[in-house]
Amino acid sequence: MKSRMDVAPIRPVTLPDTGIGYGWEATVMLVATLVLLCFGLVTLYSASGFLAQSKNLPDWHYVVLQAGGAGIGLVVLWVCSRIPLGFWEDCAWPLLLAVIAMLVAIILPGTTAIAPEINGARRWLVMWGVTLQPSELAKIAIVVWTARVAVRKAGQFQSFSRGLLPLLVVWGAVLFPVLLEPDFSTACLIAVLGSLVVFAAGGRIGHFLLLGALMVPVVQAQLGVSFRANRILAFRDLAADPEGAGFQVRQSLVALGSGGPYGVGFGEGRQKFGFLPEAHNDFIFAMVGEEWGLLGVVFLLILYTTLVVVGLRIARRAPDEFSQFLAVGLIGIVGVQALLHMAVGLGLVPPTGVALPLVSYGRSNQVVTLASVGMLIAVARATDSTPGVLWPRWRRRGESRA
Amino acid sequence: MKKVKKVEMAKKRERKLSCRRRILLATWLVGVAAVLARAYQLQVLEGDEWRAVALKQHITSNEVPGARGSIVDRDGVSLAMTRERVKVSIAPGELADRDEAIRTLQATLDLSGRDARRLTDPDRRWTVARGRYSPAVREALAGVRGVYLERELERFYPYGALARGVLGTVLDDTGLGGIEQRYEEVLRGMPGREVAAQDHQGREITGEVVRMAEPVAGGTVRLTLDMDLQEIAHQALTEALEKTGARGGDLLVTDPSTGELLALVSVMDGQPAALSAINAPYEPGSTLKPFTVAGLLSRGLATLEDSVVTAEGTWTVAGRTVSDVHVSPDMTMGDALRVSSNVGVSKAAQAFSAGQQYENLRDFGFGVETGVELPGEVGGTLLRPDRWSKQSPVSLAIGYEIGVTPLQMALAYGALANGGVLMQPRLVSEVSDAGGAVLERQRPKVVRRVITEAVARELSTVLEGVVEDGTATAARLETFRVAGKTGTSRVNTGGGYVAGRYYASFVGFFPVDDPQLVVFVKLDSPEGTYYGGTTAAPVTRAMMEGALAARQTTLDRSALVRSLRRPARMPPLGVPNRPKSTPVRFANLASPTGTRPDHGPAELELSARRAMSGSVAGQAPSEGRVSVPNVAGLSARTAVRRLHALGFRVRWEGIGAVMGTMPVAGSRLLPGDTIAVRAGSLIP
Repeated sequence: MKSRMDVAPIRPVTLPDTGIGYGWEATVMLVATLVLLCFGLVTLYSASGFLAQSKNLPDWHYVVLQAGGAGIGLVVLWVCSRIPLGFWEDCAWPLLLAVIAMLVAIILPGTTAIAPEINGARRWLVMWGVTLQPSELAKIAIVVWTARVAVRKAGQFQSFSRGLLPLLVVWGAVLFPVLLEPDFSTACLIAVLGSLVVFAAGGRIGHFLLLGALMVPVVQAQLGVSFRANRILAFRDLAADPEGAGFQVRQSLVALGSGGPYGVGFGEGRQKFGFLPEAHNDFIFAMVGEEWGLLGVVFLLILYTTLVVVGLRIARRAPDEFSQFLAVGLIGIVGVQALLHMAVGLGLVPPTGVALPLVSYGRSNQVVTLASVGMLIAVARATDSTPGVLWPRWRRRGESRA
Repeated sequence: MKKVKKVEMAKKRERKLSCRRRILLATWLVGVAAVLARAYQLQVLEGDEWRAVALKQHITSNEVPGARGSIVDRDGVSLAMTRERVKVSIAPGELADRDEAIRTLQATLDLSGRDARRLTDPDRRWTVARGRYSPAVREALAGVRGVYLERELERFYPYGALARGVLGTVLDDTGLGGIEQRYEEVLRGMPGREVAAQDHQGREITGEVVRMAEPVAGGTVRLTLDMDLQEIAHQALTEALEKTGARGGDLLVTDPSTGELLALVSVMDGQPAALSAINAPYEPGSTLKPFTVAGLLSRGLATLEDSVVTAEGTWTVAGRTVSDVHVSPDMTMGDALRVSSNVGVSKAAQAFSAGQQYENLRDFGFGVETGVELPGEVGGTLLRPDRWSKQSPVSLAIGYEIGVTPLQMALAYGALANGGVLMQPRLVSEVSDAGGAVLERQRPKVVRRVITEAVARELSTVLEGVVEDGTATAARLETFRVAGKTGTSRVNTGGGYVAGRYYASFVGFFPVDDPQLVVFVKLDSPEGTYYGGTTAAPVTRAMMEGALAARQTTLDRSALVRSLRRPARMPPLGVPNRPKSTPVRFANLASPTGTRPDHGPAELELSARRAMSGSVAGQAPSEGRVSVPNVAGLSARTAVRRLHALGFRVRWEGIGAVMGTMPVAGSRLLPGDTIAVRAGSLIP
């Protein structure tokens, strides 16, 4: 009961270097998250209605599923925000090993009973009525594990053979099963998140250049495949895209462009009627751009920037290096995905299937994102040394302002 | 010192990490800036272009046809109308309760259980019921979740095939043939425009339809046709075709004083929608002779009393031999026309100069389009004199080497009937817009005066003689005096005359002293007896009798009363016609041998008339009361035919199958009484 002190003591409003006061980071984080979550559900309704109906389901089908995911995710967020950070440091290895085990399990040949093939890929683990995407879990696991290694092996971190190489071996154990699912974009994302933590922990720039050089042929090969696939897709649907290649991206640009500065209005988007592929998922940003216009894009950018800036601030003020690296990695989960998703939608990078955190359909992603936010709040609370800062102005009953 | 160094180290590391975090933040901000710039470029700078692209693929713009206007007869009875139908589509996935939906659909749309189950098959996304339903189903189905109703317009002809030739039809929302084509602009109205959202496969998205412009309904075209007469004409011609085995025929009824077309039926090779009355010229033969005589009379080149030597029975001129069936030494002009002597008429026509003969026929409207409001009219053939051969004057005098349409013939006879004025045909009396405002009103139009009233009267008298005791006694009515002329001409298919094929025709008008109807009948190649007097003339009489029994408005009844025959009735049938009622003029025939008309030389018809005389007789409407037949359940056509046959007049109420009559079946009424026929049920 000693640790359950969920009421903030009253203290005078001071203006330290941040200028606003202690504990507000967690609040802002949570508010931005909730706003995004609600906006996501509303957008999803508009984006998935046609898809649901075309599958003979009621138009709110995906929204209800997603809302369920949000409910679970918020519980997970609350739990994570209460777990002391030491727990994660201790659990880094078991967590990673569990994730690797799950990832290997779903790609083994004899496990289709628990890992069915959906849309040509085996990404989901179906057990006891729960559907889970282990590669989403791998994002958190890789961040936690890398942050821990970065702290424990801070001395050898600058070395290639004793620092980078063992790191790459362990990452490889996670990445390969994901690549075999196949899920190239998530594998890339996991690698980027790991690198992000290493970068934040002061990894050598030379290592990053090396890593980048290693990635080039792999990425090139993969892009070749995905572009070929796009061409085939576009070829099959000539009427929709007489120009041939880049059908998805083009439709995404049409959606965004036709939205104009103010958008066509909620629910009035037309691209979701089969033109925009994965309008509820990989291209939901284009949907927002169409229905809400540049205004919606700016709105999303402000929210994600808020999360990223506050997340980095939490990292800066973190009580120790582990939680600092952890915070960077966790906010990376949100930031990297958001930026990549938007860049794909705008045709700035080649199309990859990246979800827009808290908005795109996908419950595993949603829960993992909310868990990340919860862990960030935990870091913020640890920093603050004022327990129970979820809502900083609470007072103990009977206590009066000093 | 060690501690200081350690602190130094920690500070250095702290700076490094802080620097890394700043780089990350900067990277994020650069990313955000890139996204923002790109979004600005797409959405603000290039927004219009993308919108255009989007619009092109999202939206399909459809024309919404305005409800096509109606075509009505002279009394306002709808002959062609547009009715609303409902197309029922079902989205099985949206149905709240399939069993309930199946029950509703079965009850409302009269479907079999299997069809209803098929329509609500949950494995299917979208189904469409096959039929098109009455708007009444809206009440039951509107608001049922998953059931979508769509309004469709359907062209509907309440009288079926009746007058379809005149009306034409509608194909792909465009009038094809007849009035539908000729008045397309008026009937079509203004199409509205609607814009519908479509998905990537071009399917319209339900509920995403925006009406951009409301359609304007088409106007109404009022015809001069009289549907009662049309019905009678159709029936008379159909029966004649059945009886004679003719390939086709035309029956026109016009009002000589106005040029109005009251009925127009053409059947060609079994096609009831033919328009051969205006687009198929034929060589008329003897029915043209009155115009030759009229031309001679009006130019003072002959009188009816002039005598023509016809003793040879044949006459060869310029290599062409004209012959009469029955030879008589000589006869007056009047008799020559009455008995249709080829020799007599063609000899008399020698008095014409080529120009006069041509001008005469041209004045009667031959060789030029009449200007009737129907598409595809042809003017026939009348060569200019400079292209005539030596035979031409002879041929033209008796109706060969000239192509005329039945309509031209009916109008030319109208000129004889109405005192010498050629009228423009009038098929459309009024055109009004959807709101009822009259856009165009056609008045009777005179083309020209062709002959003087005196000449017209003289010819009427002769033509009455044709019916009274000439070649067309089969057209005789007991109650009214009828004038007319028969014609039997050989069929020329373009490659010469076809052996054994004849056009049998009769053109008549009645009553003689104040003609109200001109009836043109032509039969194409009747089997067996092919003379106009025996095949076509009885059709005319049937037509006239039907008109007298059924007409309510078109005939001027008070004028008819004045035209009734004297109580001194004509001799009963079978007895040779005595010239009792023929005008005095005929008593003074300058006929040295005193040839009696019915023994005199004549065209082919006379001999045939005798053969048929047993069956030609006036059938006056029976005097006693007649009981009303039960016509419930019959089609409109059949019911009307039955009632007309019994001499009743019919007032029509509603459309569709007959529900009953008023007075009810079994009531005993006098012929000529009006019976209200109530019809129709669900059809609006």
